Amino acid sequence: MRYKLVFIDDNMKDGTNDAFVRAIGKKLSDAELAVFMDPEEGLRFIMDNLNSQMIAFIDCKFDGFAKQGTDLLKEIRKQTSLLYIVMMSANNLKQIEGIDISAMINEDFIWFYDRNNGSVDGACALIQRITQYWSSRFDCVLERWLVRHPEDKDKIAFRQVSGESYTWGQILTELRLQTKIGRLFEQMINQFYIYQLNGKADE
Amino acid sequence: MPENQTLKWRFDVSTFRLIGRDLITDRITALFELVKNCYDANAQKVSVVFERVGAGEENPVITIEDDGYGMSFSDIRDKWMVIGTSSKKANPISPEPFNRRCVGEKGIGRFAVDKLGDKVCIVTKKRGEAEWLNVEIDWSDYQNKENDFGEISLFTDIENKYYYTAASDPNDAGTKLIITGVRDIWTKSDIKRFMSEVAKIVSPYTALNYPFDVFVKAGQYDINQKATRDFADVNIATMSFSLGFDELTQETASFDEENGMIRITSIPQKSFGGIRMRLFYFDDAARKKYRREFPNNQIDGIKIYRDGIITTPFAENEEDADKKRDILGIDKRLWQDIFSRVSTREIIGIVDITRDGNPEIIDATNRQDFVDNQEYQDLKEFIILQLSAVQDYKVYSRNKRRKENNTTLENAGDSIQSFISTIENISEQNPELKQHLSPAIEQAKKTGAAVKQAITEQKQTQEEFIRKENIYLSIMSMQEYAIHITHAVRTTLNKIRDKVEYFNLFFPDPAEEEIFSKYAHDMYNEFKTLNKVIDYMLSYSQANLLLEEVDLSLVVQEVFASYASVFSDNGISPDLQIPEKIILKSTNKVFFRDILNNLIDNSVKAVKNASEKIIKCSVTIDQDKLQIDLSDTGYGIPVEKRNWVFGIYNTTTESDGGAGIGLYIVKTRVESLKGNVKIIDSEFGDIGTTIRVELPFKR
Repeated sequence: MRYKLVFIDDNMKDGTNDAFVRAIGKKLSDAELAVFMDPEEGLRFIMDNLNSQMIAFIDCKFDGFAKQGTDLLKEIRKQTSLLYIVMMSANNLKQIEGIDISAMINEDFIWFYDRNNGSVDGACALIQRITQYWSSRFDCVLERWLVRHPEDKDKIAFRQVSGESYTWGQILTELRLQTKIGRLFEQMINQFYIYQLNGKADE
Repeated sequence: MPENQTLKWRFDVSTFRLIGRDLITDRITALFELVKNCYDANAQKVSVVFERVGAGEENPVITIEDDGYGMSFSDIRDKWMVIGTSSKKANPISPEPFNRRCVGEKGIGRFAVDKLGDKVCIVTKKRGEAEWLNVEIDWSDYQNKENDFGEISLFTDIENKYYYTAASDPNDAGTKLIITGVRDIWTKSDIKRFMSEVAKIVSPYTALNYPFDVFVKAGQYDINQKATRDFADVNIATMSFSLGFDELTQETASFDEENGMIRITSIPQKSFGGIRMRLFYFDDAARKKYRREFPNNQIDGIKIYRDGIITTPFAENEEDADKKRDILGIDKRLWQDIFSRVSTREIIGIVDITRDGNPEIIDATNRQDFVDNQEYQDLKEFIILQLSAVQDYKVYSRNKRRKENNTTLENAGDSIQSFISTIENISEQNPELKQHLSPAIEQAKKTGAAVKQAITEQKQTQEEFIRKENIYLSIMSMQEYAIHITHAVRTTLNKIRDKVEYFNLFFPDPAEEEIFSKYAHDMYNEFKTLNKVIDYMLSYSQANLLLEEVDLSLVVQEVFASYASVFSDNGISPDLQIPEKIILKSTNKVFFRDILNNLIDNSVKAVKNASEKIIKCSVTIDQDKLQIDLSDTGYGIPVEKRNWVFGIYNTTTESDGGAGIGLYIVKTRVESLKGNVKIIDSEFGDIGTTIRVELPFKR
C-alpha cells in the first residue's frame, strides 16, 4: 500500500536527500516522500492531496516565517480531522509554550517526535503504527477497496431524501474532508454494523 | 427491533463535587460568590456572621443574610435547584428599580456553599408572603452515598427536606443561608482577609444607584463592621492618573520628561472597546505609610471591574501577595528593565469595563482568567503600556532625587568650608578667642573632610550601581539568547546526527557513494556553523559589554577602514554618508561593530557578480530616532523573504558560504539596543538591498 510522507521543516535544505528523510525512505519502501521548507507550500501540498493516504511530519518552529507549526496544525484541522500529523521539535516539550502544547494535545490523530532523542528506527516505528491504524479505519478500508475494484468507484453508494446521490469515490472524498455528508455516512455505516452484530448475537 | 427507544443522562451523586467543592478553588471565593448572589438579588445590605468558627469550638456556623427580593417555592424548585439554570442569563439586569447588572451568571454560585460547610439551611421569602420557606440540604448525605459502593446513587435521587415557618412581618423579604458543619477553621486573619476582599467588590468609581453594603460580624474576634468602603486610601499615592474614552477615542498615558508630568493623549479606540482606568503609584515612603494605615489591605496591582463589580478572575483570595496569580502578566514581563519596572506591589489600578461596551472581554468558565482572545490580549497590552508611563516617571524621579541628593551633599560641603573660613577670620581678628575657637575649627574641618569623603563614596556607589546594572542586563539578555542559541545548536547537532546515523545504517554501499560524500562535506560545514554560533554565544562572556559613550561616526569609519583591503580586492566602492560626530551616551560599541560587520559581510557576498559594486552606509538623525541605512548594488532579497532572512540559519547566500547567522546576529544586537531592523526598498532602485536599522536617540 503506497502512501505519502510529507515533511515540513525549514531546516531540510536538501529536500528528499535530507539524511533523516532519505533514511526513512530507504527503510519504508511504500512511502512516497515530499519535503517542504516553506510552511505555506507544505500546507498547500497537503490541502491539494487530502484524498490520498498521507502522514505529515511538521516542525514546530519556523524561524522567520509568520506561520509556525501549530498554525499549520490548526489550518489543517479546519479542513480535515483525519490526517495523521507528527509534530517534530528540536526543543524538548518543556521549552514549548504551554499554549502550543495544548493546541497539540487538543487535536486527534497527532503524535510528537522528539528530534533530539529520536532515531530513524523510532520514526519508522511511529509511521508503521499509524499505517496499522489505517487498516481499521473506514475511509482507509474504502480507499483500498476502490484501488482493487476501480469499477465500483462510480457506483451510487448513498442517496439522500432530497434526491442528491453520491458515488463511492465521492463518499471517500467527503470522508477525508470530514464534511457533514462524510460524517453522516460513517455514522450510518457504524450503526448498521452494530445492528447487524447485535442481530446475530440475539439469534 | 423495536424503534424509538431512548436513553437519558443521569448524574452520579459525585457530581456535587464537580460543581461545588472542586470547581471553586478556595473558601474566600466561595463566600464571595454567595455575596455576589446577594447583589444580584437587589440586596442593599448583607450580613455575614461567623459564630464559633475558631479552633476547638463546637457547632460552627456561618450565616449570610440579605434584604434582597427573596425566592418563592417555585423559584427554589424550578430555578435554584436545577443545575445550570441561570435566569440571569436571560435577564441580565436585576428587577426595577435597581437595574443592576447581574454578576453571577454562570448558575453555579449556589454550590459554593458546599465548599464552606456540610449543611445549609436556606430561609427565604418574597415580599407579601406570609411564611418563610426553609430548605435543608445536607451535603454529607451526598458524600455518604458516594462512598456507598454497590448500587448506583444518582445526584438527582437525593431528597432534601423543606418546611415553612411563620413570618412576623409579611413585608419582609430576603434570603438567609445558614451554613453549619463548617469545614475549615476561620481565624481572625482569615475573616479580615475576607473583609479586605469584600472591600474590593464594588468599584470605588462607579456610582451605584443603590448602595451595596456588606457587614461582617465575628463576636469571638470582636469584629463587627462594614466591610465595603471607599477607596479614600489611595489618596496617599505618590502619583496617579485616570483615563477615559469617548465614542471613537481612548485616552492613553505617557510620561513627558521635559515637564516631569504624565501626558494624556487620545488614540483611536482599541479592539476591546473603551475603558476607564485609574492608576495609583506608591513609592517606598507611600508604601510604608499605606501599610501602617491599612494593615489588612495590600497594594496588589490592577483589578478589572465590570459594571461596577469586580470580575471573577480578580475575586480569588490569596493571603501571600507574592503567590497571587498575576492575571494581567504585569510581573511576568521577563527581565525587561528589571531595575525600573513597576511591579504589582507598587500600584493600585482600577479598570472599569462594561458588558455592553466591552462584550469580548469574557470571564473564562474556570473563573481564573478571561477567555484568551485577541481583544483580551490587546487589553493586557494596553494596560502594560500604561505601566510604562509609570515606569518612566519612576526612573525620572529616581534620577531627580539622586541629583538633588548630590547637590545637597555638595552644598553641605561648601557651607562647612565657608563656616570654617568665617570662624578662622573671626579668630584671626580676635586672637583672644583663638583658644576657644580652635577646637570648633578642628571639628568643622573633620566634618568637612567627612562630607568630602561621603561625596566621593556616593559617586563610587553610583558608578558601582551602574556597573552592576549593566552586568545584570547582559546576563539577562543572554538568558533570552540562550533559548535561541540552544535551539540553533541542537538543530545543527541533529543535522549532523542524522548524517552520522545514515552512515551507521547504510555504509558501505557503492550505489550511495555520492550521497555519502555529500553528507561528509555537509557535516564539515555544519561543524563550521556550529563554531560560529558558539563564538557568538561566547561574545557575551567577554568583559567589554559595559555601556559607554560612543561616537558612532568614528565606529562606522573604523569598521569601514577595516574592510579597505576586501573592498579593493573585490572592486567595491564604499560610500559613507555620516555626520561628523554622533555621540551616543551609554551604549555598546561592540554591538555596533557586530551589526556593521555582519551587514557589510553580507553586502560583500551580494555584490560579487554585480557590474557596479557599491556598498553605502548613511546615518541620519530624525528627531528622537537614529537611522542607519546600509545599501548595496548586489542581487537583492525578494520581497517575500524580507522578514525571513532575519531568522537563524535562513540565508539567500548559501552558495557563497552564508550560514544564516549574520542577519540573526544583527537583529538580536539591534533589539538589545532597543531598536528595530528591517529591509526596505533598495535605494539603488531595481538592484540591490537596503537594510535600515532604527535606534532610539536622545540629544
